[in-house]
Amino acid sequence: MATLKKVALTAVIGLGLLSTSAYASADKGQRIYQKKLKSVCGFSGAKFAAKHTQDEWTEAKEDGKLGEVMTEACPAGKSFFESKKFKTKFSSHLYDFVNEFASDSGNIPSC
Amino acid sequence: MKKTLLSMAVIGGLFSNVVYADDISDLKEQIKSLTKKVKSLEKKQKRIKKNLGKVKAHDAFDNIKWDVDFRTSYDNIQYETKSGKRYSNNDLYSNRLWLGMGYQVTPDVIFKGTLSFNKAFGADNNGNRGGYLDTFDWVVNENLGDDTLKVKEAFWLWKPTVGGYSTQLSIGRRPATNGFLINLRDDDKAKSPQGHIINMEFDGVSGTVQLGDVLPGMYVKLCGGRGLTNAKARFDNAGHDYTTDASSDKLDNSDMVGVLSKLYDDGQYSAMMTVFHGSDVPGMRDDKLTTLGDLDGASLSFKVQGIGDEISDFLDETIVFASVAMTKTHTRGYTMLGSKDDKAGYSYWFGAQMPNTTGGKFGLEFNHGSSYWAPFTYGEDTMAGSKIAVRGDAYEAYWTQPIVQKDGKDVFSMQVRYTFMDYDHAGSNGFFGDNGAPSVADAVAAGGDPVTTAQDVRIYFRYRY
Repeated sequence: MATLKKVALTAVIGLGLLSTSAYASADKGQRIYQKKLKSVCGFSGAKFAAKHTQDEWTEAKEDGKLGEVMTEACPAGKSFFESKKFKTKFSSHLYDFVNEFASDSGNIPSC
Repeated sequence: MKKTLLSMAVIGGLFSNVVYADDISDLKEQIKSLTKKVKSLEKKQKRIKKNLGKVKAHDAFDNIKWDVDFRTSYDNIQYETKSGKRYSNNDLYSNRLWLGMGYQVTPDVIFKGTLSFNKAFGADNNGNRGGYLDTFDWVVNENLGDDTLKVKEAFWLWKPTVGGYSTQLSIGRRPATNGFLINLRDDDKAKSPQGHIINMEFDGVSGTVQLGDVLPGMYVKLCGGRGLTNAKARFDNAGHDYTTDASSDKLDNSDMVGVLSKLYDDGQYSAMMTVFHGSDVPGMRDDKLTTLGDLDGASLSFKVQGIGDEISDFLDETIVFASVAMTKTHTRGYTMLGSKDDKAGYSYWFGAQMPNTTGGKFGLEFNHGSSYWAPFTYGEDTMAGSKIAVRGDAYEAYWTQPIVQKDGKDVFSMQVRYTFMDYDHAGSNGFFGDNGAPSVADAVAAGGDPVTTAQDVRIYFRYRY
């Protein structure tokens, strides 16, 4: 048991905390929307995501026009969607989020 | 000769221009025709895409959506008692299945539910488990039982707009486990309650008003639930099916009513509070579960998700939180928690969760509870007993690691977690009667040997999609 505890503790504590390999996720996208866009756009993230189907969001992403299409959905967010940070940092998370809750995704928002 | 050749060249040139002009004209006609066809095809493609979208949207919402969460765990549990004795289970393996259901027939009406089983590997022929409080309704899906699927959650939500405000009404078996903050160490999305004070299954109702216009993310939720129902059985001997049984040895209805509010949530900073009143709560008296007095509780929790504003990826993904809570008995003359006097208890809890180099999360938590601290956290996912309910100190470290991801979700993951509970008093995680009394000396004098420390090392592998 002592050995097991040591192994477990070492495994738990011994991992580096310094940097992260960030991965895209719908949850992150939802938080980004809530933090950066909800008050700007004036409506919920679910409403924003439902403005297009999954195919439409995917096509926009593949054509490199995600920012443009998102601006159409929320014109007040234009400066955000044209920013460097959106292109380099936020777009993949926001895409995962809108794809998850697109109008034809069938996914039910958590309550 | 030269004149002839010249004439022939001129005539040839004129002739070739006529030929090229004809070719160009043909080509122009063909291009015009092709352009027309392409435009027509583009229009058709747009129509097909639109119709496909309608079919997809229709199919997406005309059936129950299922999700699967299946987890296999290994627990190593160690207890030490007041007398110095040690009790353990060095290899407890269990499987837990959650089948999530959702059906959104219209944008305003949703059904959600979860079917579940949670069992130790293999058979249980020793007769130790599966009886009495082990199958108590509040923890029927959190305790180790059999592989019968049981209903963990089943409720509908109606989301009308009333007076310009978004509201929500919901009745059923509530999503009342794995709430705010306690969800972090379990790698779950937070459900309805505050995990510091309520974490157990019950049936009830909630009504919510969204007040995002007052403060970002704000809502107020009025909740009510019935934790115990007193009703006779069907085919009662006297024909009084389902009437209240007024016998003195029967438990009365036990209800809870409360207000829960997200005070603020801008996606980075959030605060939540709960105030509740539980009436006729049960507890052991003379080794029998009996209706006792009432219990009030309150909690206030803060969470910061992301330190600063895009200083670094590490700080963006770091979460820190702090929470305080209290409970107070109203004995109404009964003996509750070992006393006929009203007793108040408190707890504080703080922690952090950080990303690590492997793409996972690393967490550290600490909580402290006073001698009469008595929350409703029986459903907490800790095999050695609720760490939040500790009357003493609890320490915890965990590492959650995604192994396979798809569409930004952790499809397959693992966790290693170590929880250490140091009990200063007896009765943690007990009900509200004799078993909840905090005095170690009294427990020993009554022939008991209360647990003084508990440890749980848990490793799990989890599939969910």
